Amino acid sequence: MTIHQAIPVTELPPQRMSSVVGVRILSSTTLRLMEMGLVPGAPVRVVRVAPFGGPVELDVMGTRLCVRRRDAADVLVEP
Amino acid sequence: VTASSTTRVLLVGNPNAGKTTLFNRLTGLRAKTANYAGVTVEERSATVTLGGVPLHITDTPGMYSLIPRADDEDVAVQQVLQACAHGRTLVVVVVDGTQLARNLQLVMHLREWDLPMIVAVTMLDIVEQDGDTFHLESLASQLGVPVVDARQLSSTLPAHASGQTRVPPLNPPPMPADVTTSLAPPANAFVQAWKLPTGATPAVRAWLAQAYAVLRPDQRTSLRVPSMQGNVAADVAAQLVQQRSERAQQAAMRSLSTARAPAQMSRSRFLTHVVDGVALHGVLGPCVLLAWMGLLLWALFSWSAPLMDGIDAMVQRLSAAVVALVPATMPLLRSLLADGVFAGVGNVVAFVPQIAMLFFFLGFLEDSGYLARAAFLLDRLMARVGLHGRAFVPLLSGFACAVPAIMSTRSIESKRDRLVTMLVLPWMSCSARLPVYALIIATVFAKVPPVFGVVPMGVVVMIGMYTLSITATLVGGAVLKRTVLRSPSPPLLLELPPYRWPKLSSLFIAVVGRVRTFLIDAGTTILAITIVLWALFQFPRDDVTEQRFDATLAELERHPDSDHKTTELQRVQAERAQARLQHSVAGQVGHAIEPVIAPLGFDWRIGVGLLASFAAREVMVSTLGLVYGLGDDADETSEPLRERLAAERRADGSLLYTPLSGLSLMVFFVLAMQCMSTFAALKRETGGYRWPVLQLLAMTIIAYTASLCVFQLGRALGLS
Repeated sequence: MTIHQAIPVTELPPQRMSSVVGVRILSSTTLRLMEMGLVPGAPVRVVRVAPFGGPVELDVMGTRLCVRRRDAADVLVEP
Repeated sequence: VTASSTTRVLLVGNPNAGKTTLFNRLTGLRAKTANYAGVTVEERSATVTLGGVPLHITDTPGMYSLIPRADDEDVAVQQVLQACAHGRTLVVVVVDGTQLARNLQLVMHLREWDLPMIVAVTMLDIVEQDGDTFHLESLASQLGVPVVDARQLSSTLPAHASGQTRVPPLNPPPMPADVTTSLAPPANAFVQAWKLPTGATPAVRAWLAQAYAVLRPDQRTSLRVPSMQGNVAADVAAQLVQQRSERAQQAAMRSLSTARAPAQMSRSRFLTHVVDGVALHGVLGPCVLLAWMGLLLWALFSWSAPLMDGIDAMVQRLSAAVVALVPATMPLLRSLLADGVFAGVGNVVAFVPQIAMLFFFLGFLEDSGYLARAAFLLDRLMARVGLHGRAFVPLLSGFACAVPAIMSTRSIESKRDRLVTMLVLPWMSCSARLPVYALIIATVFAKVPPVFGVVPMGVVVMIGMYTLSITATLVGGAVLKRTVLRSPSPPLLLELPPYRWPKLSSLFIAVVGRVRTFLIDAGTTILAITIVLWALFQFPRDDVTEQRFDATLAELERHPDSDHKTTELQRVQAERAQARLQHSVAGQVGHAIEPVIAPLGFDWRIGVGLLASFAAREVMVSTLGLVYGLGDDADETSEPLRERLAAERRADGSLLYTPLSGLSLMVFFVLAMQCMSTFAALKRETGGYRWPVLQLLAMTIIAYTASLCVFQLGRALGLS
């Protein structure tokens, strides 16, 4: 799996298990996401999406994270 | 004050790791709260003696790594770096046993630094309930530092604090040679600036590289991180995070044994999953949130009322008892005590029930894990307005009272977003404004025909005032956020922690701490302003008038006791109060500002009422009672006051209180920052007079303009 075949985590259908490939760009926010567990190889799934374009809830190794869609889109996962 | 023999203990850890609960358990009610210099982050610390060892324990804001992203994390990082420099400091890393792999990342980061530290594992009861086994010794051997059960920390902490043994730090991964070289001079400068005991270690270089990758330019300057090539730093930072994460996962795997299949959820996670199925559901979620908020408002409005009345009665009784000790020949001292000092004390303690309730409720929601869910549901809605997701609860509680609401904005991590929320909060129409609305509506709208023949005009006006209040708050927030307080919206990166039953003892300690802080910091300001206002309404006095009233009263006293005598005495007393008020500074100011407020439809008497309402909004009503010589115990339901107001005419013979001037007055009341307690609370929260003074000026100008428009446009349209 190379980073070019990966898709943003926001495009995963809810409940599908996948794993983190990397982040699209390294920024303060994506480094924080990594600090919170979204490191390459970590299993991840979208639990639910808040109504009206709100944030997404991710499950990363049992931890539930709430991230805005725009920020979550920088996390790339296996399709 | 920390004695030199006292060991410092610093509690650090991820948000939601149970740090504050642990701190409260260790220190009880001895904790002191201080604002951390320059920022609105609080520092809570306490000196306690555990097992005969004196310890100065400090709680730090939650953090995910030593690279700060917000003010509160900045404080935590500074405290850790100071611990490195200071020596004699034990760092206790609080780790959530149910989120081990993630929590251990911070431990791994701290282990790169040469720090005396131990790890305290919390939530072990939940780990046990889930049927898992935690091996503390195994974790200790992998981390190279002592690991203790947080439930036994109070007994194990003294030994660890006094017998600190340093273990060599874990090295971060090696960096490319050119990065190491280019980081050497800034690393040396950093070590000197922070007075770190060791030289430019790999940990220092790693920290600099990572800090550089994430900080905004202004933060780099304030943290003295020198410039370097950007991409290299980011790559190094990513490698560092990944290596810590791998180390953490390995250590977690070897320390926790479970009988469950990898995909199977633990009992506690399953319960959270089920509850979230409702709490975060697209339709049910917002309903649950509305129900909680309704309960909060209901509690703030109705449950606190009897408590406030009880406190008020107690203060009055105490006031009467103290005043009775003063000889009747010293009426001025009596008045100072009753209407100045005790009225001020009453003004202060009246807030206690609402503050305690709001913080109990918020603490309950926060500790149970629900507040993070509320942010998840509300983020989109609030972001559209430009307000922070966490501003919702403070704004809502502003309907009850702005003072506890301003204090509760502490949960907003971004300094500017917090300031925006605090600045617009007084526009939420608080409960103290209700008596004023009620009096005006009863006076001027009672005889106006109902709208569509069914809805009373008063109800329409009331709904209008609340609509105005909410609109002003939201528009004000949006304007501030886009102009003077423009700031990037911080990313919303929240953990949704598993639901937990909050520890009531810890909640109680937190509530007591809040109340105490309010009484000491804001309370003194409120008391001082009350006494100043008292003086403004009492002085100067006209000797001739005073003597005349004294003579009349003495004459009346000679009559035999009768109902008639009592009424006459009350009437003369009220007249004297009216005369004093007219002659006082406040009365003169009221007359002086009359030309300014006349275009709003107000006369000098309303001017005096507006001045008095600075003490507390509802004081407007009793002041009008005083102004019209009806005594100061008139309230919004009293018929004589309503009749008197409804009959009052201007010099030209026109009615003073018409629906139009009433509307203008109410609009002024919605929009003006007429509250010294809010002023005092904002002064405390922002650490100076700058923001409260600006807020007072801006809101007064806006309120004046709005009332002017209402009255003059209304007149131009031929309304009265």
